[in-house]
Amino acid sequence: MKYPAILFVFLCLLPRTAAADSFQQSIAPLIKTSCLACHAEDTETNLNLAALEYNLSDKQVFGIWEKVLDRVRAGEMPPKTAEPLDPEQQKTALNALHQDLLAASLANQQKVGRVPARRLTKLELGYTLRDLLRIEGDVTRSIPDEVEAGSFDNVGSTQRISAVHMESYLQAADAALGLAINLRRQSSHRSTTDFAWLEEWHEKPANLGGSITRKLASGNGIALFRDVDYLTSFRVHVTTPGIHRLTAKAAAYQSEDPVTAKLIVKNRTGEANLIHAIDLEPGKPATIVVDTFLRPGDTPYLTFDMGGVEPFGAILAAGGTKNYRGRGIAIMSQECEGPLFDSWPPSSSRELLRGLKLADASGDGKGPFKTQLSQNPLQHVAEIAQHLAPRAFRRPPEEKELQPFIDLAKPAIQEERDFLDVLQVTLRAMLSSPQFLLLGGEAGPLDDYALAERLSYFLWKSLPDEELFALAHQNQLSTPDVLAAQVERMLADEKSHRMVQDFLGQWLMLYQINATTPDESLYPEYDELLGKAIPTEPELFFAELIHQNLSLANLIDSEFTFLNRRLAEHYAIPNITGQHFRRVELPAKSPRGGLLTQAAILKTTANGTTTSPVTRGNFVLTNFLGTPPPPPPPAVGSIEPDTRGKTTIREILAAHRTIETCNQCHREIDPPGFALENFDPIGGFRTTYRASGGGLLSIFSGKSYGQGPAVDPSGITADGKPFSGIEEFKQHLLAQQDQIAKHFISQLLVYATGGEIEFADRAEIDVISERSGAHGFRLKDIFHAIVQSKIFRNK
Amino acid sequence: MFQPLDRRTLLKASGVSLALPLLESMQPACAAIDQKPPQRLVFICTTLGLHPPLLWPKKSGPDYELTPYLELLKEHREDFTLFSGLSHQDQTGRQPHDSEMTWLTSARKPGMGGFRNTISIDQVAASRLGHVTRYPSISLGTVKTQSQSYTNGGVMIPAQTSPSQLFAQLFLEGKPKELRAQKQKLGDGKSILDELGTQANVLRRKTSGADNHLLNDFFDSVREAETNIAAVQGWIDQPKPRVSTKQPSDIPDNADIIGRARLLLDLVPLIVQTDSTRVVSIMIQDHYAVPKVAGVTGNHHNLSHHGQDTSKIQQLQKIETEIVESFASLLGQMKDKAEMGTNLLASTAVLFGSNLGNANAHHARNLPIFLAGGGFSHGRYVVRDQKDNTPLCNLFLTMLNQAGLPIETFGQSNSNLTW
Repeated sequence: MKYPAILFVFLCLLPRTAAADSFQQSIAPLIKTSCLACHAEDTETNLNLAALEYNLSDKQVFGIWEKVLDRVRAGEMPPKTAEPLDPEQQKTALNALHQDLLAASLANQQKVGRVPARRLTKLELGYTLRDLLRIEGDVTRSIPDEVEAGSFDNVGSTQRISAVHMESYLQAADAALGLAINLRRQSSHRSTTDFAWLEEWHEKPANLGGSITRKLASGNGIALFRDVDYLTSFRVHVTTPGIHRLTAKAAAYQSEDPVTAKLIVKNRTGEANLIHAIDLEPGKPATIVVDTFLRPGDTPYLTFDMGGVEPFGAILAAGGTKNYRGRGIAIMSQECEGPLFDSWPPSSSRELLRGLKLADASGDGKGPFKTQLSQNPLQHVAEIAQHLAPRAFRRPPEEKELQPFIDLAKPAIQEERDFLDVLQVTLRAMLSSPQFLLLGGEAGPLDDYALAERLSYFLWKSLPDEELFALAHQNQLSTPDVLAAQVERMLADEKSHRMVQDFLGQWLMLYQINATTPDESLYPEYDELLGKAIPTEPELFFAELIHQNLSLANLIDSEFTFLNRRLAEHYAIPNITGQHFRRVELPAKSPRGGLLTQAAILKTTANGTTTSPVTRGNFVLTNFLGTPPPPPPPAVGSIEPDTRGKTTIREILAAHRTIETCNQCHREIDPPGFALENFDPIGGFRTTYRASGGGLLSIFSGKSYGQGPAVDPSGITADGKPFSGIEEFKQHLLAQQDQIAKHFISQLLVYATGGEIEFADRAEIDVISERSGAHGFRLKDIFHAIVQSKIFRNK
Repeated sequence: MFQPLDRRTLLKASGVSLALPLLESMQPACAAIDQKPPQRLVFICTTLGLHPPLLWPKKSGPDYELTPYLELLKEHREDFTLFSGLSHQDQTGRQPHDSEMTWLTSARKPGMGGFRNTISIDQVAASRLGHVTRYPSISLGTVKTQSQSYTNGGVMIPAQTSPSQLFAQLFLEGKPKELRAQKQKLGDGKSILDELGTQANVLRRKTSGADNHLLNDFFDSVREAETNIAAVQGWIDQPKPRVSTKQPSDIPDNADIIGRARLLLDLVPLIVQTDSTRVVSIMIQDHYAVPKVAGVTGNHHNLSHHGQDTSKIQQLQKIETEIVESFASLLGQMKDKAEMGTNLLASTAVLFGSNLGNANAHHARNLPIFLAGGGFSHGRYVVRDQKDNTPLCNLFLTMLNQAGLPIETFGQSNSNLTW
């Protein structure tokens, strides 16, 4: 028996500290009797306790002891096959370990603060530049995407800044200032489509792209019978990027059912984005008005959804569009106006160039405008910088802090460059500075400015507005009532939707929702409208839980959701008209309700072709319950999906579940995935799998896929409770509501502060979840509790 | 022994006419005493793998039999080596395609908790070589700005996707007005960065107790960006090499992934020959697109999840055939260009392969890896243990060393790979 000797050697070497004492007295005896038989240097596990120091100021060592505590406390260690621990000895040891870990964690938080320095994420930088300079449009395209590191992207410990970032920050600042300062001649104009040019297309041969339109009998306008992009473009030539107003008068044509109009913007690279969809009810012409940001090269066009439209042959069979009686869209007028500005020069320019006189060179009020200086240029630069700095730095600048930025303009002034050029040197530097890009602060309680900053980057992903800034200035914000009132105000502001999108995008991985596109022959019903509708549901749903202060249990199961007509069709829920989203009470027997059965999550957790209970089970354990399974051992084989319709994924999985080493984890991982097997890769409900290749019957059915084996959504949870499908499984999840709530609260805290949960935070998280649990875990309550917590209000 | 040719004759012979004066920095490379061409490295990744049954021969060594994909390369049989049994460990990422980030870096567990990428092999080479060429490296991609290239701190260097812009950047002189504006911007940028460095330092001193890793990062990045600007300023007045090839037109259609890949690959011989850079990485991918290949109706990603469906595998084969053929075409072009008594391929190591060994199962072992040119001995199929894979980094290390970079380890390497 050599390990006790080693442990003693090690113990003698320990410095005499409180932690060392408690280790020797309370923890070491238990380790000796109950752990070292498996966890010494000849261990087959990853843990060698004989060589593990008790140096809790080392982050890595700390993590291992934390895990030891958790696993023993949870009863996972020692394994059931080993002799159980002496209860008294265990209690003493765990208490001692807990106290030591807490002391070490607190000491660290007091010394450096809980939240490491962090920088604005790409998203935050984009919103900040927009709100700061009052511009529209995204100027962050050159900035590197945030890299996934297993947590939220605003967590400083995993963030990086590289030369690539640095160069892109300068570019973004440049682009933002370019949008903000516009003194050119006003280029806004309005142009209306003249449909006369389409005359020749109505009867042009089909192989040349014609024969899919006709002139409207009623006068000006055309009817379009195919979803194409080259006939119904808006007349627009964007020279200045900005908001443009697209207006079209359209109607369902020769249709008993609603026709869905689609407004699509194609950009220079050929990428096309559906920006608006609306149902045109038969007999009710509608005017579509959409404001959208257009850049040079963008081409918007109007078309319609072809769902249920006859094949092209029907037009030919009718002898051309003139005699064709099939469904289409009638377009009576199309108009584009823009770029729209509240005034000229735009208010963003006037705001930024304060103190300068802008002289109209043409005299007609449309410019171009020239800057006229009323003092020496450096003083103008200083005035503008001083005005911008408090908001850009989210605090009043210190004395002389701005001087170096202002001085940067000197060489350009000496070279007698244009004033705007001169100014940009200083402003670019400020907008790429560490003061602007980094969120810092000293250890300890946040001062009011830092609190305003943290709050506003949490709920708005952007800088504090005037009101928050004023409250910070008056030292009022840290008063609990004032803080609570601000949380109410900020959640009610539409800017909070940025947080909803970003939090769900990361927590539920919805940012990856379009990482795959569904297989076209297996899931032909997946179209552009559905693709646009799917991600909207969880966002509106989650926002509703916040705004109505509803229970977090709704995340597991709910009696309502948000749908438009296309998504309702996908869910087989009748009587939903129109493409706008609204709250819908779910029918009693609907398998929907809660987040897990929303198509967004079901699609994100599939690969476009098949679903895997392992992937979805892992998702539920990791993102919902907060109990991620360990990664598969390195040499383990992968699962090769088979869509030929002969083998089901369950049969493939059954093979590895008979192997005990696999089953150890898969008994936990697979069941939630089994329960979700009734949902296909696009979130449709299924009772049988689809098989690729229609097979013999497809000639008759006209379907591009065949019928595969039946789905079996039943299973047994890891703790031995059987379920027949998703409905019963949700009941098991509801029973674990406390755990789900605790994980959710932890995740939201990480996201709110930009710092990982530490050992010392556990007690407060327990308090937050207990208190909010007493009122049924209402969502807005949780937001309030987080903002009021010590964790949030300290660095 | 052949007599080394002077550069002018050489370039004429190779079909590229370079107008004098030559790039000054070219002189050392050309006027070196031993008159050896510089060593170059090219990395090409097709991110959805190659269907294993169509690729791997049964027989190893020089007498391997031709499989459907190897058939396409048979003309170049003596110029490349095919490896199996190579991979990086721990590539199960948070997302199944996360190994796209780590093919050239070998960082473990991409996307999982605490993941940070590490420097990619091309950037190791680029940082050692520095600005001896106008660009230390060039990173290209067929559709997106996603690239294979990662900086020292694990940050992706965005890929260029436009062959025409790249061509203009490398070979066309800008207008005097543009050049002036560009110089002014560089000058401004440099003084701004200089001040930002000072600011970061002041803040760093003020908050010395706190965690300062980002301020340190900030400071280092500012300095690096300054160095980059200085290097660009140093090159901006140097005339660009003039080539007789015409500027290519971009293919706007994202779905023509093969056409776009070919345009990029066709620029490689020109880039290498004019010594515009010595390190190139290229990523061929578009998961969403239905590639414009006759008989293909599914999108590339979905076809790679063929689920053993034979009609899908047939379509997948059509796409992959085109991709392997583009590689073959590149090898042909590199061999056609003479350089100092030999050809371009002899001094250019071209790695072609994928981050996925089997896309249907999403696994990243037994990666398909071809190595061509670069002065290695070729003509064989080298088989390493299929279960206990050899680190792909061993091959990377050997490539770096062969290119004259005395580096001892890279990523997961544990020795050189010899065959």
